[in-house]
Parts: sequence; structure tokens; C-alpha cells
Amino acid sequence: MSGFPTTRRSTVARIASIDGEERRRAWEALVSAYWKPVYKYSRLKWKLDPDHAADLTQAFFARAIEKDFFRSYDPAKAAFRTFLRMCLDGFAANEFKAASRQKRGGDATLLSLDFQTAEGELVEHPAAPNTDLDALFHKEWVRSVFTLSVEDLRSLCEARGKPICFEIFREYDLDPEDGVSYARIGERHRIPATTVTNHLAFARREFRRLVLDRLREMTATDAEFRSEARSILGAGFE
Amino acid sequence: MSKPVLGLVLGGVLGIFDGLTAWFTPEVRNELPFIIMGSTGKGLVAGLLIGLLARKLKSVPLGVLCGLLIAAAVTYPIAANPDPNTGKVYFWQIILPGSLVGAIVGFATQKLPTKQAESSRTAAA
Amino acid sequence: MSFLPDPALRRLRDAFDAPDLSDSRYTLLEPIGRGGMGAVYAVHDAALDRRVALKVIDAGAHAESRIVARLEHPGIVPVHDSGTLPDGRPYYVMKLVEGEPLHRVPLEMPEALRVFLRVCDAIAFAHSRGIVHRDLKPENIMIGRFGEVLVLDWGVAAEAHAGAPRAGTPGFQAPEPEVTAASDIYSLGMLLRELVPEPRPPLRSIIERATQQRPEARYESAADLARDVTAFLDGTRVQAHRESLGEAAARLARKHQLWIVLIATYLVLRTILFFWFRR
Repeated sequence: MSGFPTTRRSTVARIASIDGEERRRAWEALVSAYWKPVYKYSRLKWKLDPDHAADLTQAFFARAIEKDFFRSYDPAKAAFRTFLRMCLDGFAANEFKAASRQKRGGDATLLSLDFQTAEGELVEHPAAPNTDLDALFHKEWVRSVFTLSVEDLRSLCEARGKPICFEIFREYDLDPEDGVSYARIGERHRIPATTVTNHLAFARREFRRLVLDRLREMTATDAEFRSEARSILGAGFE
Repeated sequence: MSKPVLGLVLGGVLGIFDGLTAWFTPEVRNELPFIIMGSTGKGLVAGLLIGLLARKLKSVPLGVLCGLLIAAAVTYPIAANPDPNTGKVYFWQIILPGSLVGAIVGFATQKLPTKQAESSRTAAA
Repeated sequence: MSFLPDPALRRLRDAFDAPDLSDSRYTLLEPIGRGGMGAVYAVHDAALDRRVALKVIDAGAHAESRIVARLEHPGIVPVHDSGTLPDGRPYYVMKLVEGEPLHRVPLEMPEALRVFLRVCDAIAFAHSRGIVHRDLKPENIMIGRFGEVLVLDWGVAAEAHAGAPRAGTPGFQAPEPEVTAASDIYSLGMLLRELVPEPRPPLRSIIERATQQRPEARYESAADLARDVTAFLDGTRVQAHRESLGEAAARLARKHQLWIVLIATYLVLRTILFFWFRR
């Protein structure tokens, strides 16, 4: 995948930065992409109740920040996504051994995460029985990346004075009505169908760039970046 | 193998078998070599004619019918004449097996793969 | 942003993968499939007003279009054009074959072998040009609407003499670490096994010979393999198979089945006539 943009520096690399502000922003980016997969994975893998899973998610990221245990990540061994899941498995096993709610919450910094929304998503869109949990973690990670990138796209279109591009992208790709077509969207916005295709092409091109930016940010090496870009295409959605 | 050659070979082979069956009729057994030669010749001629006609036909029932009629026509002069030694006429004993050979050759020239059929199949592919 | 349900994720994934053709002579129609090393789309070529296939190539397969362009053969899809997308991904345009991949076409034995021979022919041609396919499997063989057989997806193909590293799909992949023309022979053997799940002994021997662990124990070329399969189809002797007397007799009987039936029919009817006249 030559030509993939490299506009953002890797979050994984920035976590080790000596600049405190940069390190904080890197953690924010990482948590925003991974907290929902971690929460949902915990709910389904260990059958934790919502409060318990929220505590575990909070504690996991808090401990990761405090102990800096993502620093030991070796890109040659696995994708960062896989490494993080393995860290979570190990962390949860230790926590269950200790079995102390106080200790889990402990004196860790509480992150501002909207667990109610995550729980609502799990209830409204339950995972199929016998779901492969590795695949689920992967899918939730893709969902996170795409959700953040869609938000990025909305901001970008607004900043460039092209909110219509995002609107057409939403109507055609995100939430299409039955029988959606370029002509129908064109009629609604009073523009020709060719303009619809141009706007959609712009939005898709930017969406692709933004997803790749996010991926670049969340991976440590070029090889991992390429592999994760390919893994997005391999994710299974019903 | 082309259709006429196929007719010739099969007609000849079945003609030999046809002639050999005369061995089971003791009163004509001493004429066996002539009978074999006659029925082989008859088979060859009928087979060739059937093979030539088969080139124009593309139907198994029609091939069988034409084979039967051609072989019957070729066999008729022999079947209609009385045996020179016994003076008896063996019309049905000769014409039916002869026609049977024709019917089988007629079937084979329509059904067995031949050189023309192969080359036209290749051209179609 | 609200929750993105699975269908929206699927559409976004397709949007993420779809090529941006806005400044080219092509208009995107629909995705056709994703193979090793790239995705293929049906596109409309405005310059020539026709539907063609456009393949967007992933990393590491930049040589694919040049390799396929070198292989002008009826069993290999011809390349019309190539270029680079605005996001930097290379693509090439080829003939759009309307048809089904081999694994979705139910084929009876003789027909399956005839298809296999056409595949061997295309592979033998590629080998003669110094190219190994490296990913032969039923999914990469297309049966066109008019019976044409095309070997697709040359995404991991490589120069035969280079001893390229292993690639392809487990189950069809040769065991040796460095891929040569013999590795394609192995994959052809596995393909034959897939096409004929319960082969008769001579065909089983052909498969065994093609899928030997040691490359030098396999057929020397795809043409040799094809020759043995043709011999099996024609009912003549298969080189890879040591046949018993019984097998030879059965093979000859099968080969001349119609002759035997005709002569037997004649003899039965002649016997009936004989006894009829003896009454």
C-alpha cells in the first residue's frame, strides 16, 4: 500500500515521549479508540456485569498509564491491537485473583468514558451466541476507528465549507434509505447527479485518508500499519 | 477413422461373424469358406455404402433405418436365389442377419466418434 | 457520533476500499471480489464505452500488471491499461470476464478434466515465459459464460528462476520454501484432487505424482502432467501409473465400450435368429 499518508505520528511511539503534553494526547487518542472494544470484550468474555466491566476498563487504562506497560510493546511480535488484548487478558486474570473491588478502582485516575452508551449498544445490538471473542474485539476496534474517522470527516467537511459532502456521504454510505440513488440525492439537494458523485468521491477519498491517518497513529511500524489496513478489509460484518 | 472406413471395418467384421454362423447348419458346413467370403464381401459393400450415406445424416433412427434398407438391398440378390447344391431358398435366413448387420453399422456410424465429428467439435470449441 | 451498526460498517469498509476514479476515464460500477493482493471492481470505460475489470493492487504486488501483460494467452485475462490512483495505490484494467469461479461450477468428471487441461495449458505457457503463478486454486480459475477457462489473480506471481518465497493458499501450497515451476505443478495436483474427489487408480497416481513432497519427483512440466491427464481421458496408458493386467483389460474395455456392446448385440440377436430358424 504505497502512498498511504503519514501525516500523524504513531501514538504508540508518542506514549514513550518525554514531553508530558504529547504523552497525554497520545494516551487520549489510544483510549478513545480502544475503550469500547475493551469494555465490550470484558462484558462478553468474563460475563461481567456492566459496573464491574466499566471498573475493569477504567482500571486497565489507569494502570496502563500509571505503570506505562505499553512501553514494552514489540512490533515484531504482534500487532498493537493484539498486544493490548493480551495485556488486558493478563491484567484481568491478576485482578480476578486479587478479587478486590477497592483495589481495582484503587487510587487510579478516573477517565471520562461513557459506559452507559457502550452498554446501550451492547443491549441494542447483542453479539451472536458463540461469537469468537478475538473476532469481536477486532470488529469493535474497527467500529471505533470508523466512528472516530466519521467524526473527523464531519469536522473536516465543515471546516472546509463543504458540509454537503458529509451529508451526501451520510445519505449514501452511512444511513441510506431504501432505493437510494445519486439522482434521488441530487433532487433532494437540487444539484445534478454528477455533482453528487463528485461530492461523494471527495468524502470517500477524505474518509479513506482519515482512516489511514488513525491507523498510522495507532500502529508502531509501517508493516503493522499495512497489516492493520488490510485487516480492516477482512473484518466480518453481518 | 472416417464414417465410410468405420462402416467398411464394422461391416466386414460383422460379415465374418455372420458367415461363421453357417457352421451351425450342417447341410451347408462344407461351403463355409465361400459363405464367409460372400457375407464378408456383402458386409464390406453394405458398410461402405452406409458409411458414405452417414456423412449426410445426423440422426440415429434414420441411420439405423437406412443401414437396414441398404444391407437388405445388398443381401437381396443372394437371399432370393436358391442354393445351388440343395436347390432350397433360404430367403429369411439370409436377409434377416444381413439386415441386422446393416442396422448395427447404421447405428455405429451415427454414434461412434469419427474423424469428421472430432474435427468439427474442435472447430466449435 | 452515534453507534455505527454492522451494515453501515460494511458500507464504510467498501467506501474505504473503493478506488477514487473521479479524474479518470473509468466510472466505478460495483465490486467483484477481493483476491490475494488486491480488490477487483467492474468499471465502465468511457473512452471505449464498455465494461472492464479494474484491479487495485495492494502492497508488494506492483509487478502484477507487468507480469500479466507479458502473458498473452487465451487462458489468461488480457491487460488493457494500468495506472496509479490519487491515493497512490497502483491499478490495472483488464477484460471483464462474465462467469463463475471454478469452485461454484458443478462439473462432471470428463468435463472437469477438460477444464483442468486448459488450466495446465495456461500455466505451461506462463512457465515457458519464466513466470510462476504461486496461488493456483479453484477460486482463481474462472469459467466464462461461453465455456472459456481463465486463470486469474497473478497478484503473487513471480519470476520462476528467482526461487521466490512461498506464497498462496494453504491446502494448495507446495511444501518447499522456495517456489519454482514445480510448486505450480504441486498446486495443479491439489486442484485436480479438488476437482475429482474420488479418482480412479490411474488418476490417483497422476495426483500423487504431481503432489510429491520432493519437487524433483513431480512431473517435469505442466505439459507432462496434461499429457498424462489426456491419456487418462483417451483411455490410453498413463505414465504415472503402473497398471495390472486386469486394469489394462478394463481400460481397453472402457475405451472400446461401444464397439464391444455393438458386436455383443449383434451376436445375441444372431443367436436368437439362429434358434428361431432351427425350430
